[in-house]
Amino acid sequence: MKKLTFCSPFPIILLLVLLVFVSCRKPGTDEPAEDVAIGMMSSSVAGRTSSTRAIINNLEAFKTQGNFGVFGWKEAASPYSLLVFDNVKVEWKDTDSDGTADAWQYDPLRYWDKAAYRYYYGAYAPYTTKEETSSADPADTDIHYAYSETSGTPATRSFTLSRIPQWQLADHCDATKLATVETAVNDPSFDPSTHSPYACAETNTSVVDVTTAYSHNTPTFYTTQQNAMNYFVQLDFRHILAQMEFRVKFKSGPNNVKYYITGLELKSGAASSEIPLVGEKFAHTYTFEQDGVTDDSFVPAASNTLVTGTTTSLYPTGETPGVKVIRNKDIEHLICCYLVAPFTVASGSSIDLVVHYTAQAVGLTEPEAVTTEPFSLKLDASTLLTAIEAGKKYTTTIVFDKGQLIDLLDVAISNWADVANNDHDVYNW
Amino acid sequence: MKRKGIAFDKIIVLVAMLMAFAACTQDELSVRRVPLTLMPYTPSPVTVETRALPDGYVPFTQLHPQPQAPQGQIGVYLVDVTNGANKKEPLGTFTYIEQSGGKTGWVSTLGVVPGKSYKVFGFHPAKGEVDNSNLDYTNPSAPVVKLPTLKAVSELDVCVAVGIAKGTVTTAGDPPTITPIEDSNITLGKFDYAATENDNYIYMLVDHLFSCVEFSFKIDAKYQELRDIVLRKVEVESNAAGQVDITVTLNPNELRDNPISNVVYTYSGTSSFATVYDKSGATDTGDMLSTTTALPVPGYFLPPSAYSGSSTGNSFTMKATYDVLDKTGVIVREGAEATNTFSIAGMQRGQKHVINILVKPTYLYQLSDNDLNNPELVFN
Repeated sequence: MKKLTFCSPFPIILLLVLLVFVSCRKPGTDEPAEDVAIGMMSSSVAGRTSSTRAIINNLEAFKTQGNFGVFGWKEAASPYSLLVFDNVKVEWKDTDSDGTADAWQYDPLRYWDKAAYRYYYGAYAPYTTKEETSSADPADTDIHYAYSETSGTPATRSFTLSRIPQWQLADHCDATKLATVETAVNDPSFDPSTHSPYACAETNTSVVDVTTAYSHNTPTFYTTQQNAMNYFVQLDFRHILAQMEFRVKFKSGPNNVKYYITGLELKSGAASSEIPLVGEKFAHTYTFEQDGVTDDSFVPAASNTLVTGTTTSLYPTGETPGVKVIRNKDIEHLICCYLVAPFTVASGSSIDLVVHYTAQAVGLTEPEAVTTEPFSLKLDASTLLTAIEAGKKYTTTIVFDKGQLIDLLDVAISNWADVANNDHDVYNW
Repeated sequence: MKRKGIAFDKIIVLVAMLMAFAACTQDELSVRRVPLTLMPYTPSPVTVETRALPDGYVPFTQLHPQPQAPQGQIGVYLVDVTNGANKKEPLGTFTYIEQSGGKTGWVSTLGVVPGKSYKVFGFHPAKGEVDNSNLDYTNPSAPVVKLPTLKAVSELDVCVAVGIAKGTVTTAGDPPTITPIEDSNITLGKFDYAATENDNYIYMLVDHLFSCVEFSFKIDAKYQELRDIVLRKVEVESNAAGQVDITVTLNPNELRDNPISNVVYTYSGTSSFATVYDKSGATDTGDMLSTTTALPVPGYFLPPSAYSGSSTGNSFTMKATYDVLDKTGVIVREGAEATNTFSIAGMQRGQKHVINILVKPTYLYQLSDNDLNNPELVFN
């Protein structure tokens, strides 16, 4: 067994780059001699941790997630091109048997070909075994992959991820934290056992935070071996989804009314704006760029790649009683959070939010359903959202500022004006 | 917010004052004083005993005694007009409830922020048939209340608020005393309300948007000598329209004019059906018809005057379901049905047509002897 070690100038990379080759296989006719193995390293959301707090929000979380899939093409004498990595699974594993995972591994091992012009790598996480083919089960809800290579000058290479949910209710809505807040509330009438502050987590068990990465390597390093870094394919993973989180805060309101958030709804604003629909899936193709040009495939997916509409209902529509708005002033409570396909907002339009809640006053046997007017989601106090971008988190805090109750003492009604008074005898009763 | 009810001695004084008012004939404000049923707000003990009302207005419960939702639920849109904000709040409700001990009142889900100014627009019923109500406050001088997809014939008296007024005053103290205003000077046309720190109570006036036909049931004395009739259900059908969207344009004013400046009825369909009286359940006892006291059964409908050039809209079919009992109380016919058709023309909203239905004996009963109770049969 060969062991390859690596020192990175980047602290975040230093933590993870220890690649151990656990097996070898005889190279095929297209394979170079077993000399310098191709190592894999990740820098998940490197440099972007300040702009995102998605499900995988740091490198450690990415490693905990445990795997990614790799596509890699070797370009040698034109037009020769070979798919070296065909959706190869790379896993974060324990290589020194100390019980702790410490390196990215894949099997069987591949080797650098110093005669090659260039390698093109693309990766995604989490790994899937499901390939999108004409025979693939259309009912299969797992994420699928496909790849494509078109000869020419330059050749184009791409891989596609499909069946990605446009909206995913995120597991990491912190049910534990929410429950802790609930128990701290001085509200004797609230019985957590009869309500469902955990619904956010209960309703979803398999959120997929899809990330992708690219790398271009030239094997010229092999001749100098000056930079051990170049033994490795450095993959810079970025989120292809955005995160939208909804919170609620109680500023003021009557003490004898209980409020429950029962649903959130996104609507297009004045001009028609297409919004990804809940329950639908989308696919996106990531194309390899020539000559190391920075790939821009992480921009928001164009609306025409999504299944869209002008309104879509979010969590927890129809749920009763919903998430309670707790009367602890100025403490925010999580309602729910989603991973969502990036999308753009039509020029001149806006994304509006409609909040459905119930208000149950003392004396009413049933809570009254209330629907707010649509209000525009904004980046700040004045700037409307123009796009939901990949890798970014959008937090909306709904503030209950209900003041005090206004009560109705009495109602008077206009008396009927009698216009006719007829007698009508009936028989045969 | 703390509220405090009226102290007993203050109630005595208040009652005395109200009696004095009741004896007064002066009517400078074109209002008359109507005794109201004690209506404590629940759970606050603030109560109203009498107060002044504009001409033509009666206590809500006089027309709708003990109203249950949806009839007893008023939908309200508050518009925050502070500093020209004109921000419409979500639909809230006042719901009439009865509690143990006979307490009744209106329960609120509406919040206001002290110091802010509001316009208050209401209608009822709030829910049920009019779930998609809306208020268009684009033009503050002509707000529009929209009540879509109502049945053209209904068991519900559809109304819109035509005026509101603050209903209480606060006397400084610890805690402050909140007292209902006997003469609130509530008038038509005013929708303004200024929210305060300690007390936010209002009075409201509502006006009809439908017409009313009231079937008034009695039984002929000769028939009653032989049989009793227990009414179980009354259904009304119109053969003209199925449903109607009502759009009410208001004209808030200081002139005490009725602020309903325009009502548009957009109707569709060809028939509508409503059960306007229903005591047919297994646990219901129904109402026995009297020879002297009429049993009123009102039904509400799209005003015939709103039909454009169609006379068919004036035709209503009433189907009554009833039980016939002999004089010992034994049901001799159960669930009997009778159908009658009436032609009602040209009525406006807010108008009522009373049809006095007198159940007469048939020829058979007029020639018959009284029923025998367990007669002895002799066979030769």
